[in-house]
Amino acid sequence: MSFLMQQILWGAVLPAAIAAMLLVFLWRAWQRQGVPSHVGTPFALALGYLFAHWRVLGLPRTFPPVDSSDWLFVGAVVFAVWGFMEHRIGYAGLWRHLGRLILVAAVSWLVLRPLVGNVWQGASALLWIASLAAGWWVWWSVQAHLADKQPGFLSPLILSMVAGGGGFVLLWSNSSSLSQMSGAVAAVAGVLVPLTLWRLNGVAGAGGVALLAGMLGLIWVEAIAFVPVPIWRIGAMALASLSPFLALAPPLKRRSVWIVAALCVVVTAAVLVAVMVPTYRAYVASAGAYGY
Amino acid sequence: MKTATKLFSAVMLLWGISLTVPVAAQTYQIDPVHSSLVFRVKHMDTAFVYGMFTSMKGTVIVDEANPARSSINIEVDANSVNTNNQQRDNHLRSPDFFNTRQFPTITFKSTEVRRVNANTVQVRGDLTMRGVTRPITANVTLTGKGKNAQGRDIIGFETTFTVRRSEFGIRYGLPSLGDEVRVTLSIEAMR
Repeated sequence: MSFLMQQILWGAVLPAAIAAMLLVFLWRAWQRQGVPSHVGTPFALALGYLFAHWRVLGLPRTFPPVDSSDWLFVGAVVFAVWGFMEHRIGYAGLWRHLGRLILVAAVSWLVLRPLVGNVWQGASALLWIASLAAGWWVWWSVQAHLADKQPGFLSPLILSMVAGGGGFVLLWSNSSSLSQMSGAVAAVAGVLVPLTLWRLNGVAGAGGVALLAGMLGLIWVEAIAFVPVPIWRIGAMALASLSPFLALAPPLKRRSVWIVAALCVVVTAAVLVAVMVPTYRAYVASAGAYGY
Repeated sequence: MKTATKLFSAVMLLWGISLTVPVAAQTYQIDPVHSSLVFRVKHMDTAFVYGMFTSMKGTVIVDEANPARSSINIEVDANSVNTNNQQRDNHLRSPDFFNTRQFPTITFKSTEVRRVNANTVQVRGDLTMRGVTRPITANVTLTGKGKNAQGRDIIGFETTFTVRRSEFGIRYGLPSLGDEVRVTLSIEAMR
C-alpha cells in the first residue's frame, strides 16, 4: 500500500468507520431505554479522531503534554467530555457560554504558553493568546447557535467541508500533521451526514458540534501560532463555515431543505476555493520545479 | 657570572615546574563562521538528502592533561536549518518536524569525556531536540590546532554520529522519510 493510501486509511477511512459503528451501536443500545441518540455522539466522534491521531502522529509522549501536537489528543478527550456535559447537564444559555469561554481560555493558555518569551514578548503575548481564544470562542458559539437552529445534517456537512478543505490549506501552509488531523475531523464530521439522513435525525446534537468546533478551533489556533499559517487563511475558513446562516434568512426559510443545503454547500465551496487557490500557488512557487 | 648562574637556575626551575604542573583547562568559544553542522536523511528509501544548520554557539573546555575535565556545550538555532529549498525549510521549522516556534534551540551538553587515543576522545552527553533529551555517545577527533588570522588560538574537532528522530518525537513521514539521521559536526573554536 502506498504511503498516501496508508495515511488516508489511518487518518480518515478507519476513524470514520469507528465513529459510525459506535454511533449506530449506541443508538441501538439506548433506543430501547429512551435515551436520545446524540448523547454519545461526542465520545464516538472523539474515539474516531483519537484513532487517527494515534496512527498518524502517535500517542502523546508526556502528560500534561509539552509538544503542541500532543495537545490535540488531550483536546479531543476534553472536548468530548465537555460536549457530553453541554447536552446532559443542559446548562442555561449564559452558563454554557461562560463555561465555553473558560474552557477555551484555559486550553489556549496551556497550549500557547510555550510561545511566551520565544515568539511573543510581554503584553503582546497576552494579547495574542486572548485574541485567539476570543476568536475561537465566538466562532464556537456561532456554530452552536447554527446547529441549534438547524439540527439536521447541514451543520455537520458544512463543518466537514471546511475541515476537509482546511486540511488542504494547512497542507499547503507547511503543516502536514495539522492537515491530517483536520482531515480526521472532516471524516468523523462527515459520518454524521448520512446517519442523520438515514434515521438518526439530530444525531450531531450540541455535543457533537461542541467536539467538532473544539477540535477544529484548536487545530486552527495551533496553525496560526505554531506553523504559522497566515491569519487571513484561517479567518476565511471560519467565514466559509457560516453559510448555514443562509438557511435562516427569511426568503429561504420556505424553500426546500435540499435547495437551501445546496446553496450553503456552493457558498462554502466558493469561499474555500478562494482560500485554497492562492495558498496552493504560494506553495508551488516556493517549492521549486522539483517539489521536495 | 654568579648572577647569570642564578638567573639560569631560576629559568630552569620555572621550566621544570611548567613541565610537571598540569596546564589549566582552556576555554574556547565556538566560531560559528568556521563550524558546520551537517545532517543527512534518506528520502523515500532512495537517496540521501543533506541539510545543515547555519547558526550555532557554545563553549569547548579542553584539558589535555586530564580529558575527563573537558566538556562541550553547543546551542544550535533550529530556525537556521537550510536544505537548499525554502519550502522544505519552512516545513522543517513547522510542528511536523522541529517545531521551532516552541523549541527554537537544539542543545548538546556533555556529561563525560574520556580519551580513546592521542587525537580522539569519546564524548557522552545529552542531546535535547524538540523538548526531548536523550543521551548520545560520539567519538570526537581533534583535527588541528593553531592560530587564526587575528592571532587567537584556535582548535578544531570533528565527529559523526547517528540519531533516530523518532526518539525525539519527530515522527512525521515515517518510514518514507528515514528515521536515522546521520549528523556530522565540525567545530572550530577560539580563545
